[in-house]
Amino acid sequence: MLGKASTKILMHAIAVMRPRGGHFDADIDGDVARMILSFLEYLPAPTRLTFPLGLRLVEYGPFLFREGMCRFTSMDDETATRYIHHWERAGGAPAMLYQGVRALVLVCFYQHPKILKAMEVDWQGRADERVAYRAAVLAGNPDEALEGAGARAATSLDAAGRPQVVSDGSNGGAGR
Amino acid sequence: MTVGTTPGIPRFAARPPEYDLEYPNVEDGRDFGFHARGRHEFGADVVVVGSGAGGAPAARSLRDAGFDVLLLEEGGLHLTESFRTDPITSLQRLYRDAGTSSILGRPPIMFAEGRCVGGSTVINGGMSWRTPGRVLDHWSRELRLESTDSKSMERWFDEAQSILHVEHQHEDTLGRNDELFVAGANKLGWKVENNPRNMHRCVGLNNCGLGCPTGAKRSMLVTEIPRALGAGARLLTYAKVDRVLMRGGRAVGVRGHFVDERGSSRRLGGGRLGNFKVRARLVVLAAGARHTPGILMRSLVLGGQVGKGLHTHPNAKVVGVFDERVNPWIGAHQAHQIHQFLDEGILIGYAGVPPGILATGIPGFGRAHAERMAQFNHMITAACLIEDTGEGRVVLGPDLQPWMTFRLSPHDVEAVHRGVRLAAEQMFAAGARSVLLPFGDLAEIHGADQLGEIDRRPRKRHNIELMTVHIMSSARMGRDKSAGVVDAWGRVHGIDGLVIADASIIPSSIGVNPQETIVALALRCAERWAGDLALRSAS
Ligand SMILES: Cc1cc2nc3c(=O)[nH]c(=O)nc-3n(C[C@H](O)[C@H](O)[C@H](O)COP(=O)(O)OP(=O)(O)OC[C@H]3O[C@@H](n4cnc5c(N)ncnc54)[C@H](O)[C@@H]3O)c2cc1C
Ligand code: SF4
Repeated sequence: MLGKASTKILMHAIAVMRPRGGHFDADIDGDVARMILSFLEYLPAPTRLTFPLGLRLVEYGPFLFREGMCRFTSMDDETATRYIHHWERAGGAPAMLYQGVRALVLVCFYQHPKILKAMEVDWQGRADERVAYRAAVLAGNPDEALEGAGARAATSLDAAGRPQVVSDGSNGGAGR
Repeated sequence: MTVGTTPGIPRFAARPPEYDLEYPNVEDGRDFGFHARGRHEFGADVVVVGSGAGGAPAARSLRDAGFDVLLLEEGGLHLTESFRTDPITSLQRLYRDAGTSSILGRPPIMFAEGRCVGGSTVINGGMSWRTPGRVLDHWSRELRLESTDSKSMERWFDEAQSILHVEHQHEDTLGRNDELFVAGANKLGWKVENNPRNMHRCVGLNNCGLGCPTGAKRSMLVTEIPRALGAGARLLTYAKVDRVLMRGGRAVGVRGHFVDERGSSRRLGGGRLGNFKVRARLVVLAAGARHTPGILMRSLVLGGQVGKGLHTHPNAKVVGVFDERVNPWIGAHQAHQIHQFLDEGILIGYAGVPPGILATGIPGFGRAHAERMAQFNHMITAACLIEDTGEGRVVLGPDLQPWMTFRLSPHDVEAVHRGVRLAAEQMFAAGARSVLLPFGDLAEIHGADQLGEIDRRPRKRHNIELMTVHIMSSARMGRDKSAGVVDAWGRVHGIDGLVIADASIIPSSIGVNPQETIVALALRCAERWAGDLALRSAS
């Protein structure tokens, strides 16, 4: 639903705002953009319709914050970061736009399967296990049923406190 | 159409019984195309608009009383088997505006509500509390609302609790976040409440907010909806009501349009969806405290108290960061709460929030954000809920949809600071090394010795990050038109045949999680409406 130019601005915003460092340096910006685009369809009409306009303001807004006459998409990382912070502190509509774009980037980034895995969060794996566990408990035969489902009765932790639930990815994950 | 299973979803060796529930008499609104020359027409004794905490029990109760009931729901029928832990898919399917709504004001308050069969009960946390006695006293004594005292309400709370199947958590479902929450409170000498939750053998997955895939949570989707349908009620999904039809001062039905899963009347693949009209003897509005006043206003039921007196139970989040690994995604959703400060209008709880959702409440972006979020498995998200004394409004926006505004009273601002301080104190008592605060100008403190900074923070309304999932009182009960929109039995003052059965009729802020209050009031009112209808038929 976004045109080429708006998508380019969005991609640059993702590149600047995405969490980075350590295991967050995964190459997933394209996926994050696709997830954001699917999300946009569900936003209320006023937000959806004004979003591309907001992106254009980000693109052509540097001079408003004395960053010169350049465009956002041609800024290097450091300048772009400083520029985005201006939006954050501006209050009113610019701050709301900043919060909106930031929220979309962060939700889609941290819920990406690669990032969840790196963060050692296997919520869907645990869901598979718990569904089978409850069904088995209600059927009065937890152990047998759990074996059939390939899951464990309770979530055990290793010495470092890491939960020992491993999803095979067959029944969940982002984008479904 | 009878729906029992969802194609394409792998089956588990043992299936929870909720996966095999039957949903007969359901029609999918997306199948009703646009007719240039008219609307799709339906008829019933009773039309119920909205299938959440208020609408579903009202529909079931009126169907049991022998009436032909048609339930209209703007969202889709998403079965237990289809629920996932991925917030992106779930927010799109189950939440209005994919969970991005907000209440305008200073500060704006983030707000979320359900849009699906079962309404917000499908995505709620399952806490089930009766309306506190002091609140009921206020309704019956000061507001002089008939039969709202504790004794008269007891029967309805009992019935609500049996529908909701309220029970406490099993020991094997508690997570480390719960243990630390309780330990912190114990250390401070606070009383800890064992949270009653509406569930049948919850197994502590902590996915309540995205739909309970285990089937444990007794939302309306697995209780009153299948019961009503099984008894012969009909359900039309993706049917959005625009307005109530009136003739000679009485309601005679509703009209609206069909929408797709995005809430749009234009299909993604092209083409438009149709309009509909329903004729009925009784119109029950149960679209929630935002949309019910919206429908009233679009129907030109204006003035008086319509849309006024909105309460929001603002929530402020306080994140404790611990040295030890907490795994906040493991263990039941909010097994305990602190009610010690309810008289001050403060309730403290906690939640296991998915990383992507928690991330939006952590300031900044880029590397700094990543450094904080790398601690996700060491975090507990506590929250204080405020029994607000300020009042907001529901108004029609330029898009003719209901918009909400709210202004915190000075008392509310103070209560937020007090609640944040208490929750932060509890986190430090539990062993947190630092605590993230919901204040833009005071984002983090690093020890109990810094709690005074919260006390000293200037009481500014802006720069506080608030959210809510409880709204109420926007078409409240009152003895007459000057005091409320409906009478003590949910009947709209001055309009025959039009009644309300959702959170909007709650007469004042109640300070505890509201679903049980809503179910109890809906059951109580529905019994009266059935009597009214029978009388009318006889005469
Ligand atoms: C994330 C979350 C967590 C919560 N946790 C708790 C908790 O732990 N305990 C608790 O007690 N409460 C909790 N709540 C609040 C509780 O679920 C709600 O207060 C309650 O469900 C409100 O009931 P209702 O009938 O007023 O509205 P809802 O349950 O929201 O139902 C309204 C229904 O009407 C439909 N609708 C709206 N407009 C139209 C229209 N024009 N035409 C047709 N249909 C329409 C909606 O799609 C929706 O399905 C939570 C809520 C949320 C969102
Ligand atoms: S904690 Fe898990 S099992 Fe219990 S109600 Fe919530 S999602 Fe269902």
